[in-house]
Amino acid sequence: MQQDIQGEAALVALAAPDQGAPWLTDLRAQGLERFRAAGLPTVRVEAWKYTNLNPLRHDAWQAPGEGTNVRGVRDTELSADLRVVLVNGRLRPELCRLPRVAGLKIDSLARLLAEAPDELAALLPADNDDLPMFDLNTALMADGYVLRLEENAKIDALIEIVSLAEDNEVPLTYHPRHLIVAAPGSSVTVIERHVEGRHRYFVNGATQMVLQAGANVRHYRTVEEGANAVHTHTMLAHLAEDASLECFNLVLGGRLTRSEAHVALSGRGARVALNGAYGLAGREHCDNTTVVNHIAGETSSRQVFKGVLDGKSRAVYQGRIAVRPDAQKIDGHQLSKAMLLSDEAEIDTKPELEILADDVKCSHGATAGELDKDALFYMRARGIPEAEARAMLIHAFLADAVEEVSHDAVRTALANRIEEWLATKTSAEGAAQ
Amino acid sequence: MGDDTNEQCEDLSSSMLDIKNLHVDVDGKPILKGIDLSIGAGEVHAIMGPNGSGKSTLSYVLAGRDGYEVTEGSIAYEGQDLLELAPEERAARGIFLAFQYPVELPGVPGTTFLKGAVNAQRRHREEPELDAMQFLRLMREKTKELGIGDEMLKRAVNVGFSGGEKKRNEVLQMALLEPKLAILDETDSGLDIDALKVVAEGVNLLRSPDRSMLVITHYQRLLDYVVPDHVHVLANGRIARSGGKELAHELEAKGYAEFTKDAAA
Amino acid sequence: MTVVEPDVDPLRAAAEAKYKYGFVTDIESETAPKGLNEDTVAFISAKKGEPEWMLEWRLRAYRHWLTMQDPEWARVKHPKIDYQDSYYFSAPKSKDDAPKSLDEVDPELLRTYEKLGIPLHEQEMLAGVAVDAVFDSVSVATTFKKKLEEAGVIFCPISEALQKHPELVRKYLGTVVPYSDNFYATLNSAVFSDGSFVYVPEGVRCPMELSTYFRINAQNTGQFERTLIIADKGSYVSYLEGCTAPMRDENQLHAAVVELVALDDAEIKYSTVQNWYPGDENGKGGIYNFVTKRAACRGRNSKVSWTQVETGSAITWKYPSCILQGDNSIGEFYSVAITNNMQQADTGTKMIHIGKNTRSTIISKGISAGRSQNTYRGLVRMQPGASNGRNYTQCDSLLIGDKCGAHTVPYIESKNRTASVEHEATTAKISEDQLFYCRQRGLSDEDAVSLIVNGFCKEVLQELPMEFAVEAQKLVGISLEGSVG
Repeated sequence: MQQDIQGEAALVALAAPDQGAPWLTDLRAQGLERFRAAGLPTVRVEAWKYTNLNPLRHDAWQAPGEGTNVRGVRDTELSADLRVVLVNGRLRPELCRLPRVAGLKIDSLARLLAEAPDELAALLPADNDDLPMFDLNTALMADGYVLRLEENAKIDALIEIVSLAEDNEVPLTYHPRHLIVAAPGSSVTVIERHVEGRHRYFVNGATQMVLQAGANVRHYRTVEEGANAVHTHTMLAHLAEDASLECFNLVLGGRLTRSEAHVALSGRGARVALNGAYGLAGREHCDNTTVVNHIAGETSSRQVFKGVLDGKSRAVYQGRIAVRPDAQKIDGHQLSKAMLLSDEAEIDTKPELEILADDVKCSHGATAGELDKDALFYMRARGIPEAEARAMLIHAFLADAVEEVSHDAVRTALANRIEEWLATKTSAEGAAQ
Repeated sequence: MGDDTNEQCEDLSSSMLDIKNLHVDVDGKPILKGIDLSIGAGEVHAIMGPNGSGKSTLSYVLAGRDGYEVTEGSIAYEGQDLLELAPEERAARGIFLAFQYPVELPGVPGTTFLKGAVNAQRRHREEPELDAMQFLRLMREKTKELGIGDEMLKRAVNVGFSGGEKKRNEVLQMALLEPKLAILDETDSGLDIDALKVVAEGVNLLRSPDRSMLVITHYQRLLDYVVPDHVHVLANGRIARSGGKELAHELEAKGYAEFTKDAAA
Repeated sequence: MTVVEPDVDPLRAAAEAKYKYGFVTDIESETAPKGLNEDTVAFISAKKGEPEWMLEWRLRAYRHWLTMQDPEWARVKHPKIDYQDSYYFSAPKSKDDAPKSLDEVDPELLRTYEKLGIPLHEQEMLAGVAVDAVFDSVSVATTFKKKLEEAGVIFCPISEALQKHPELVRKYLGTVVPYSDNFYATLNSAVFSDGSFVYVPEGVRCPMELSTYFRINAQNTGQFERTLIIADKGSYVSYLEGCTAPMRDENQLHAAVVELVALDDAEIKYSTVQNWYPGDENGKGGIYNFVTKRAACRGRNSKVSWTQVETGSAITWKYPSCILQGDNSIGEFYSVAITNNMQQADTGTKMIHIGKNTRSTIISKGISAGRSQNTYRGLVRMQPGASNGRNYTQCDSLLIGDKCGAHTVPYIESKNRTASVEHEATTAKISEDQLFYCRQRGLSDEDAVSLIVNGFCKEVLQELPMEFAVEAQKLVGISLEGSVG
């Protein structure tokens, strides 16, 4: 019991009285107060029924220092001309590539809070209930990226965000806060890469997005955290009329990851896609939670999540589509498919519909099962070795989810990344046999 | 003026259906822009026209579908204001619409549906309702007459039916309900020539001196089988030309270009 | 000028759907004092002449109940229930103990059944159905006993079973729903008044459908039926439960418990048509129906099928469930839940797959109208041992009008690689195209809605025994009267 409290107490102790603007001090204090009142969520809290935060409870978490102990940033297929690098949640200008692009401003949250806090006074406060991890982030946020688009700015170049963890002996925690503000008619594509660190760390990020009328944002993430890492992330997005948000969350690593997305479709014609794929092994735990609020009429949403689970891994998908009273002409569709590769893996799905208007078309589907045995046999009968046949089927299963990604280069890169992940996984499996 | 009114009254008394200066908006957009059409008892009228000319709108307005706003004009049916009536009241008075796209009713057996429809009409006519056995007998009689198998009626209404089956089902319903005014909305669309013949034969069997028909079609080929007394060309929301059955052949040869050009001008 | 006048718009206006069976039968009650304490529990047990172990079990339940809280997780709202402001036992007075034939049954009671359209002797003669009628908690008439006795089937009030077959009751009671299970089941365990007991011996196919009509009558009397059905190896039984209740202004609590046990190769089919008073169009009055129903498929190849048509009650809170322990066992749940006006329903099922090759099917059809709230809540769990387990769930909601709510809350958990789970859910409003098509053929709004909704529910309704199916189809129409104008 004593130990249980240690992790939570260590987190709370990291909150320091802020020297910033009074509104910011208040905001942090409120966040801390709400987090303390709720505590680290337990499985008795409905929204956390399937995700146990025990891996957080026993460590004396510390805030990171300068973050000097980083390896360089490797270029990958997803590397782009515009690159933001964060180490331990801190934006590191010397590692970034940020040529001037008309209509686009990328800043460090820390710098803005220090130099022009009032620019953020209307953006940072969030109307949220029962999001203790977001509250914790509010209390402890130190830095992050702030991406702002001017009216009608169409940014063609892909923006790459690389998030690195410093190698360190002590358990580190950091709480980056990112902001994306897209003015009317603007558009942008962002890929966030969360790259594996060797040591024990807990990153609790939050991203706030404001999409004004007709804005178009594509936001992709690959999460490949280290085997000892806990990664929680909360996204809050507001979409005005005719705004469009497309997200894809690819999770291929991390002791425990939870990606939460809360989207408010506040303007007529707004639409959102929250998709993802995951490949899990060992004792990895991956939770995708999506909440879509259809507040305005003629809005649409789509969620497709597919994943494979090996070893003793566990995946969770919780999805809620809520249609508010008088929000008519709504389309909401949700699909979760999981493939279990091992006898000890587990998938828990809770797709929820909450409908308070009548002119709606909402649906959800969920399946869980193993590899298609008939297909496997068919392939083996044609001479394809079993391991190879399995890999082909698994890849086909996950690649299907990646089809949801509309950005061609990103889609190809994600599919390739899945193939690489499978190659390392299946070769390990082959060696074990 | 006085004479005009008298003439109209006379027309009305001899007409099954009398449409005067009908203007209809859909979603605030004018679709029909002043239709005049009079159909006498036992007459078969064909309405032809290019896509988007308002043919289906006319059929829906006659059947009383929601969302079709009559902004001007009138429709009299057997001398009575049709626009005041709910769809089921129109059906009870003998108006039957064969849908261009018959609607699927999952889980509703065809016999249950039709028995309900037949008895609703009988109630309106103050005739005794048919019980299950009587209805079955009536149904067998009609399917035999039309040469249509009754296995369709055992399935849920239109669910999983091919295009041809759906259209045959519409004709079968028409036979059972014995309407006074039958509106056939693109009944030929999506049918191959064999299916078209079956449907057309069914329609011809139902021709009678006290049954009027309004046949809406894009192509002339249906009219080879169901020969109309009058043909009207609907273009841009108005009747651009009226004539005898030969007009259909003329249209087949020349197409609608002439009328769409007029409309654009 | 519009083509269709607003007053015939099929999706607008809400008139009152009248409760057809609203009347009260006047029968003197022999009632326990108001309130709940150990004395009340002892009074009930004594009144029934129960064995000592039964009283002890009740008291254990009561003491456990004192430590529990009303559940709050369901999507239902109601004022807090004052459990001390209720009566926990009432029995209609009869001349000499229990009546031995219909002639001895209170004529007032018989007339009540007639008004409900379920004349007892007609059923006896025509339908071949034995009726164990529970009226105000005590069974007053049991018919067709003889035929059942010949087959060796025990079908009697549970109070009678406690006298005549205590060993059977003791062996199975509380083994599917333990006394500590949940707030309402625990309350029921402490104060249950009566209910049905069925035992079908090994290899016997029960010669007739068994049916019980539950009624709530006396004012302020909570109803706490307890039903226990055991199908021994290789046996089969179909049990029908139908409910109607008289109109009352005050809310009435009904917290029943139903336990089913199916042994090797046995099959139980349990069908319910529930049409209790739903309250008026403003949500005044109506029954609180908080029921725990659970089946244990203990034996290999056993099967339990739940079918329910829920149209009544102000609040419905029930999740007929199957614990699929035996290898190759099968669980089924077919449900229609209709809510209109201010009704609230939170209903669904749990399918817990434990044994190998276990299969389950869930078909749920929810229809919301008026200002009602209708929730499907379900759990499908594949335990690690449930190799080759299969579940298929289809969960559809239909909305009629824009003031109601339809909610779907499924929990799907799989811990077995070879198990397969498939879940589909849809929510949509009643189709304008379908309504118009029906009306073009001459059907009235209400007939069209009834026809379309019956079609929507067909997969469930066809699972009902014939005599129930007809009644249920009518109920579907009656329940939605006034939902379109």
